[in-house]
Amino acid sequence: MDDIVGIDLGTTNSLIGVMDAGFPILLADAEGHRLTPSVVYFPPGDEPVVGRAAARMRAVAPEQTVYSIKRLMGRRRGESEKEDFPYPVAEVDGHTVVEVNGKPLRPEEVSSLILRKLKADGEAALGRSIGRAVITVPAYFNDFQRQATKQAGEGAGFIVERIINEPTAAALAYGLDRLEERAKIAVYDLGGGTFDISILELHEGVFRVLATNGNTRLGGDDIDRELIRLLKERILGRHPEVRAEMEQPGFTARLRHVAHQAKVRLSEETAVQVDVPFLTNNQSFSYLLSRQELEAAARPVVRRTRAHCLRSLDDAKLDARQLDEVILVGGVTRMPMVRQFVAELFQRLPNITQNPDEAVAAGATIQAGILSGQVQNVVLLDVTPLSLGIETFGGLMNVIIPRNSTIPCKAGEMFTNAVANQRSMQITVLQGERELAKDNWELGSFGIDFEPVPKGMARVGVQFEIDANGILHVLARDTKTGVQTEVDLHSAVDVSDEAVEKMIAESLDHAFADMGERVWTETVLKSNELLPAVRSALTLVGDQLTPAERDRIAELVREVERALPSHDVPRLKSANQQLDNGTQHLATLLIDRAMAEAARRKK
Amino acid sequence: MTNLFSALQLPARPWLDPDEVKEAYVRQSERAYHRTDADGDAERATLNQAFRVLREPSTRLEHLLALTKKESLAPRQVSAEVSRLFGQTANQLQVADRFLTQLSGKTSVLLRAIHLQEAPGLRADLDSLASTLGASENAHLNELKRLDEVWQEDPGLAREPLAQLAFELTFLEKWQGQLRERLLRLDEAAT
Repeated sequence: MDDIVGIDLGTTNSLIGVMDAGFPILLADAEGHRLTPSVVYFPPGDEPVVGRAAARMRAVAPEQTVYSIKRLMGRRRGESEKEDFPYPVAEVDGHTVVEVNGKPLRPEEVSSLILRKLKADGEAALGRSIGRAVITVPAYFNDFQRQATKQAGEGAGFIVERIINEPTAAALAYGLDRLEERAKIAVYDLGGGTFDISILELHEGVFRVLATNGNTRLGGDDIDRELIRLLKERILGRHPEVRAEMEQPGFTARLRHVAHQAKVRLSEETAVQVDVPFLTNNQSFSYLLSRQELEAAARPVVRRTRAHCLRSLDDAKLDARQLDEVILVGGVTRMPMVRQFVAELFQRLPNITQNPDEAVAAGATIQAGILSGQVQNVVLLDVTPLSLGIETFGGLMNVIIPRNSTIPCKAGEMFTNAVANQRSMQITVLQGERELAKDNWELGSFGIDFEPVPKGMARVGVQFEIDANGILHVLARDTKTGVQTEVDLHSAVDVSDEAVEKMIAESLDHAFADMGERVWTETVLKSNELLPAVRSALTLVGDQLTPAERDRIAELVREVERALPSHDVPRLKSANQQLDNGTQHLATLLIDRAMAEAARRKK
Repeated sequence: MTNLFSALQLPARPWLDPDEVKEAYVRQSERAYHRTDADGDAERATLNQAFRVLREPSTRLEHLLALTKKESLAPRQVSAEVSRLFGQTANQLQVADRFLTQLSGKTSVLLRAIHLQEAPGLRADLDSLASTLGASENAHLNELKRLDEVWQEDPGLAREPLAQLAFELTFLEKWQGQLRERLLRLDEAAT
C-alpha cells in the first residue's frame, strides 16, 4: 500500500511525517533537521534554494528571498496592502504575486517549491517514493486559501488526499493515546502568521469540532514587527544620523533576524543582548533588551486573540470553566506572557504537553493514517469556519450554510424566475460573518438559465456542497431535465467593484491630504473634541492624579487654547499631540473606572 | 425531500431531546465514517445536514412541517409579545452599533476612554434584553413540549400552532445571536 504523508505547511517552518507501527513519525532531512524553514531563495539565473540554506540568505539577499508566503496564499485584489515584505508584492489579473528577479510568482508556486523539498527529503528518509499527502491549513482559511493550498500540493506532484485544519490536527496528536476519555478541549494555536482557536469534544475516539475561530493575519510575525519598531526607536535615539540607512530593505531584514532571535531567547531568559554590528561603516549598536520590553510590545498583538476565543466559546455554547484542557500549539505559545494570557482568559493552566512546533504535523500524519486505514477507531468530525451564503436584493448576505457546520455538508436552494420570460439570473456566492454582502469575501458568481415561462414557473435547484477539505462545490440542477452540472466559480477572476472604488477613494483622500484648509479644519475639530474630554475626565478621576500631573495637564490645555486662534497648523497639531500624550495616565484611570463599573454591575 | 429524521433514525416529532439528537448523530457518523465507496461522502453530508437541521428547534419544526405537508398553512404572524421584543431588539442593536461606530472614530486614547464610560451601562442593557429573549425562548420551548403531546394525539391539530412557534423561534434565536455579537464587539473594543 502506498504511503500517505502528513505535512504541516507552516508560515515559518514546515514538516513532513508518516505513520509507523501506529505512531506518527516526523521525517528529518539529510542533516537531521525535522523543521524546514518555509523560505525560498531565488538566485538570479539559477535553481531556487529551499529551507535552511535559503533562510541564511534572508539578510544577505532580502529581495530574492521569499518567506512567510503563507500570508499571501489565496489573497485577492485589495487585500495585499499593509504588508511589509522586503520582496515586491504585486497584483496580476486580481491575483497576488511576488516579483523576484523580475518574474512574477504566485504564492502557490512558491509553496509548491517548499512542498517539493519536503517530498524529496521524505523520500530520501524513507527510501521510497511518496505520492499522496494530507496538508494542513489554518482552520480559519477561506475557500480561496484552501484551494491555493491544494494547488500548491498538486504542483509539487502530490495527490492531495485531504486538507485538514491545524488545530484539529493538534487535537488528534493530543488525543491519540486518550481514546477512552471523554473531554472538552480547546486548542489555542498561535503560529508565525496565523491564529486559530478550536473547541472540540473527544469521546471514545470521536473527535468532534464544536466551533472554530481565528485570524489568518495574526501571529509571531506581528510581534517581530512590533519589536523591530521598538529597536528602530532605540537605535534612532542613540544614532539619529542613521535614519536614511534604516529605510533600506536590507536593514529591516537584518533587524528582523535579530529581533526574531531575541524574541525566541527571551522565552527562556529575562534579558538578552541585542547586537546590530556595522550599523553604518563605523558604528555598531548594542542594547540590553528585557523580557518586559518585549512583552509590552507584544501585548497588543496577543490581546487580539481574546475576541476570537470568546466567539468560539460562545458558538460552542460553553463557558471557559466547562473545558477540561486548553492545549497550546504554535511556536509563539512558548512565550511566558502568552501562557499567562491564556491562563487568565480560560481560568486554568494551559496544557503544554504538545511540542508546539510538531503537534500539527503529527496530527496531519495521524489523519493520513486514518485515510490509509492504518489508524482505526478514530472518527474526525470537523467544521467549516465561515458561513456560506448568497447575496440578496438590497446587498445583504443570506446564510445558506452557517459557520461551524460539520463537513462535508450540503444545502439546496431553489431559484425561480421573478418575472415572466426571464431568461437568466446571476447569483453571487459569499463567505463570511458580516450582514452586508460587500463586507464578506466574494467567492464568485454564476448565472443560471431559465426557460421562457410565466412568473414563478421556471425552477432551478442549486446545491451548495462543502467537501471534507472545506472547499466549496456548486451544482446547478434543472428540475425539468434533471441535468446536474458543476458550476465553476473560480475560473472568473472576480474583483469586486467596491474594493476598487475603495482604493480609488483612499488614493483621492491622500491627494487632498495636503490641502491646507482641510487640514486646519480637521485639526481644530480634534482640539474641540479633546478639550471637553479632558475636562470631563478631570471631573471623573482627576482626584487620583498628583498635583504635578494636574498642573502639567492644565499647561497643555492652555497651549491648545493659545494655538487655536493662531491658524498655525503645525503648532496646533503639536499642541493636540502633546495634550494627547500628556493625558495617557488619565485615560488609563478612566478605563480602570469603566472596568470597575462593569465588574460592579456583574455582581 | 430527504427525511432527515430517518437519516438519524429518530422519530419524526416536534420535540427531541438535544442530547438524544447528538448521540444519534455521533452513532450514525461513526458507522458512516469509514465508508470509502463513492456514496460515502454523500451519506456523511446527509448526516451532517440532519444534525444541523434537527438540533435547532426552529429548523427541526420547519423540516417536520415540510415533510408532512398536506394543506398550505395560513400566513404567519408574530404575536404581540414577539413584536414588542423585536422593537426593543432593533432599538438596542442600533444603540450598540452607533456606540461602536463612534468609538472606532475616536483617534485619541483619552477620547476613547471617555466614550468607554458608557460601555458598562450599554452592556448591562444588552445583557438584560438577551435574558428577556432567553426567557421568551424557554417559554416557547415549553409550549413546544406541550404541542408535542398534542401532535402524538392528532398531528393535524398541532400543525398551525407549530408553524407559528417555528416562525417565532427563528426570530428569537436570531436576535439573541445578534445581541451576543454586539456584546462580543463591545468586549473587543474595550480591551
